[in-house]
Amino acid sequence: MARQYQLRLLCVAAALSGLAWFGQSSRGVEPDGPDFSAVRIALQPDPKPAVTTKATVPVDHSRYVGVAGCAAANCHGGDGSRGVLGSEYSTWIQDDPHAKAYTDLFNETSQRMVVALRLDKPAHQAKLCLNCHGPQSDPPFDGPVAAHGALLDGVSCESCHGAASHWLGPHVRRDWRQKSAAEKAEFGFRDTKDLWTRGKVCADCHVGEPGRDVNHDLYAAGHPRLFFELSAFNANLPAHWDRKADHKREGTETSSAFEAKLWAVGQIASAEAAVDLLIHRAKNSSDDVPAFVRGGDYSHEKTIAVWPELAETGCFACHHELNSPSWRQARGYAGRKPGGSPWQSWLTPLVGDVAAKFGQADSPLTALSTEMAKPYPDRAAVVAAAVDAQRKLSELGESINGQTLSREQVKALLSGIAEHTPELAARNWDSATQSYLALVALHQSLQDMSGSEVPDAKGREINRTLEEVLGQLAFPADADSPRTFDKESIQQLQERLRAIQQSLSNGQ
Amino acid sequence: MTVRMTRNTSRELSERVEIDFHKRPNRFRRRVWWSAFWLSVACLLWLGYAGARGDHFVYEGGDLAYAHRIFENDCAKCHTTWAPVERALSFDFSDRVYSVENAACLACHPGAEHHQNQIPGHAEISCAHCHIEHQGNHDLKRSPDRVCLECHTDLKSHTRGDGSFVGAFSEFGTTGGHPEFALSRAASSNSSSIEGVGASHEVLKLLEFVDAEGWRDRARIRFNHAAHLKAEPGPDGQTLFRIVARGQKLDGFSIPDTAVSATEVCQVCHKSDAAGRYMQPIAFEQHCRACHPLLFDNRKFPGEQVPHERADVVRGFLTEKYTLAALADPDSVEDESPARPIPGRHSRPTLSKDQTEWLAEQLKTAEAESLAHTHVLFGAEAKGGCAYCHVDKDGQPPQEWSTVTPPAIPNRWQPHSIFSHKSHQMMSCVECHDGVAESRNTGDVLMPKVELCRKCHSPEPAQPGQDFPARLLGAGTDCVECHLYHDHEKDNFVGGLNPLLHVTGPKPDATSTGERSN
Repeated sequence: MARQYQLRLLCVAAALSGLAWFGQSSRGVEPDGPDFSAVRIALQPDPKPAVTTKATVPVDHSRYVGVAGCAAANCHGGDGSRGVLGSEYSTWIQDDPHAKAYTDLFNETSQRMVVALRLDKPAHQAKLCLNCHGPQSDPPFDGPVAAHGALLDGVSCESCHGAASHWLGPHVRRDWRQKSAAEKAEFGFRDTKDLWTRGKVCADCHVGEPGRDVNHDLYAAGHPRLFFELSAFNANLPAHWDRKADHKREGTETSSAFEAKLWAVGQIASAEAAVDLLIHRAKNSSDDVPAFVRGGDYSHEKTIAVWPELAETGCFACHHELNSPSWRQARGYAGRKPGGSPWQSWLTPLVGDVAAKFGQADSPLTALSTEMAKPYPDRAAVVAAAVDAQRKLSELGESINGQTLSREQVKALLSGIAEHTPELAARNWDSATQSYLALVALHQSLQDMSGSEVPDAKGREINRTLEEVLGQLAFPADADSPRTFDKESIQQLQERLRAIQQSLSNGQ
Repeated sequence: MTVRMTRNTSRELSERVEIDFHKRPNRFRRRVWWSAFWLSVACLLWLGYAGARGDHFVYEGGDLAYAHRIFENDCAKCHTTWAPVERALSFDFSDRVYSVENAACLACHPGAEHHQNQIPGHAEISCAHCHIEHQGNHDLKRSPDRVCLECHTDLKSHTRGDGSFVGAFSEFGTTGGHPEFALSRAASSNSSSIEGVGASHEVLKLLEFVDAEGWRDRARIRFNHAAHLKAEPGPDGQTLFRIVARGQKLDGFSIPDTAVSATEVCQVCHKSDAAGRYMQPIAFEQHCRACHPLLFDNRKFPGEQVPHERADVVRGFLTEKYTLAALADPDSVEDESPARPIPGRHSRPTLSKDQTEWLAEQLKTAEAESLAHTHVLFGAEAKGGCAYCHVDKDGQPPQEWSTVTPPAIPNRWQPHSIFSHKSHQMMSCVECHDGVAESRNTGDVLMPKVELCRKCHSPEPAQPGQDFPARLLGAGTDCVECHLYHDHEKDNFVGGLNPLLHVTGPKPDATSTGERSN
């Protein structure tokens, strides 16, 4: 009996000590103490990789990455001064108006336009506006717009250089510089060093293209006029690139035809873009929707094509004072029926001059301009003429882009245009202003090729006269139109332009 | 063979045992009895002697916890009653009667009401019920699950709260035991309310419901993890990461030039605190400025940056800069004219020299009033600089500096619990915080679900052949593994609340009292 008790006692004691030990070991661990079960996990190989690699995106679908991918301080966000290599982003964000393209959609004009155009969303969410003011969205325009951070960047790096998802990585590698423009294009990169490409990239928004259509409705609602001239815009843009390199590519650093070529290429690229948009407008409008009775709203976010599109004509052909007797009527409408309006009076007046100097005897736009000058142009005829014109313009643009201009070529181009300017000045303010810009660009180019940094007496004289012309063409302080551009003004202008022509021909 | 047959009568048989045998004293048994008796007396004497000498260790069930060792020689500091007597007197033989009264505990731990939301009648529970002393150096905070679950299996009948917390669950490790974390319940919820979350729940301070996007964090900052990380395949099928701005020297550490593991890449920005528990907050000066300098006008002030401060401070800074520059060189404030003016575009009159001088004079005499004017006239704003990361209160790009909302990046995502990153350092960051490298929106909540914790913290961890390798022991699943409780708001270690300790000399800092519990 006693043995049985002892045995039981022993069992109980053993059980108690076991329990005590167990309790101690399971309770006594410090919160931060080593956890052996976890160590076991660490020691054993993990059969599953921590993160699976992302599936590769098909190459043809480039996506925007946003300026965040460029703006690091040791990439393009350096703190050097304007145009210094490595400070491209800093130059853009501080000085380039493109950086404000998206935030402009929040200003008063934009809000007014939204009301006028009956958009059902604010400007910063409307595709109609974002096509140019927020071209970067990734993926393009699906899902809530606010989620796309890159929109906020406005017109930034990738808007011109191409969506970067495929070239962001490769472009920092050493072999990138060895690649040709065509090879780079395969990655979605646009080579803006090429002037024809540069002109077309700018013209996509500044002239328009199918889908980016600033038509008369938008102007009427308050959009500023598209007013593009490549060489002047290029000169005024705070350059985030090396301007000297631009010049070097078109000659040498001290003698470069860059300005002349950029101007000529810009004329053709702008005209080509205008013709492209015209084809789109002609094809997508119908006779059922007559001009002046648009009645459409833009709430469905598609540009409405009407025929004829009033934005195809010069603003000041209609928007001018209605004095009677009128000096315009007295002057007459060269080659046009009264009531018809000059087609693209801003973009086209000098295209013929450029074509003539680069081997196309007839202006590529002659037939098209004639058709478009009619009060109600025939759409089919316009499309036929425009397709032909577009082909010729592309050929011409690429041909000019392919050559390095000689001093003689620039001189011939300048004197040809100088001869033409007095006649152009008499047509309208648009033609006069384009003539002025052409003279400035070509004269500057000639100066660049003269081998001297400072203009000679004749050059200074011409520059002085050009400044007077500029003053004459300027809008009066209280107006946003050339209100003072009248018969007397034109006569003065012509005198000055003839003086420039004289001065140029004397030197030859 | 002869068999002798013997016949005995019962009397004869009974005579075989002496009739007083059992009455006669047995020497052995008597000795045993007396030995036991004298041994007991000796024990009692010894106990009495020990007691009389003041040696109480013989009465104790076990050593005290370290924290209470100071009372080791003074039982009466805690023991004012004796449970057996108390039970007998009150006829309450349940385990609600203890030899220590709550008043003794509250003398030092005055804030510790069981929980601020408990129904008053339930306060009678004894402290000693959950905090078991005389167990050796045992952590008194680590109460066994069974005492937690006494209430937490049915919170509704024990608390008077607003139902902020899920009311009924069983053990953590078992499926259907611990509920999904409120954060993760929100992430998978399409409605503007989270199941089991009342108005006072902390998660509502961290998250908000955005119609188009669901539950988003309230950080009010634009940050894109994906844009800063570039994944590339490494050896052994591992995924390595590069930080986009590599080679940068930040404050105290540098960004690696090569692709590194997820854990290393996370630690470039996310550093844990000294205890290894939580991640320190991200600071602009430390983590962002090197790559995102706040330049404001590189032409006039090359390389100079605005302070990362409130709008009025930045305005003040810029005003001073421009005012001093204008005074030093009035020519410099003229607008830069375009390289090639275009008629009709550049016909706005610019300030004349006289006007500029007048303006400089104005700035000098009325600096305080000119803050906004300086800003507008010289175009001093940092063009989208703030809006690059900051938003207004509605999450939209701010229209002016004053509408910039200070970000509220949470330092703790699960404030009802404690966590130690250090204890989990053998795991890769992305094992728990999955999807970080693909996250493009700051609003994404990248916290693990309870499911993931349960893979290790379980009495029945995943077995071989499933997602995880073989494992015999699970990590802890006690409630107190992650949760603290009691309302410590009333704790005051610097006031005169510890008469028992008679603290003299330097007093411990009140802020070092550790975690605030829920």
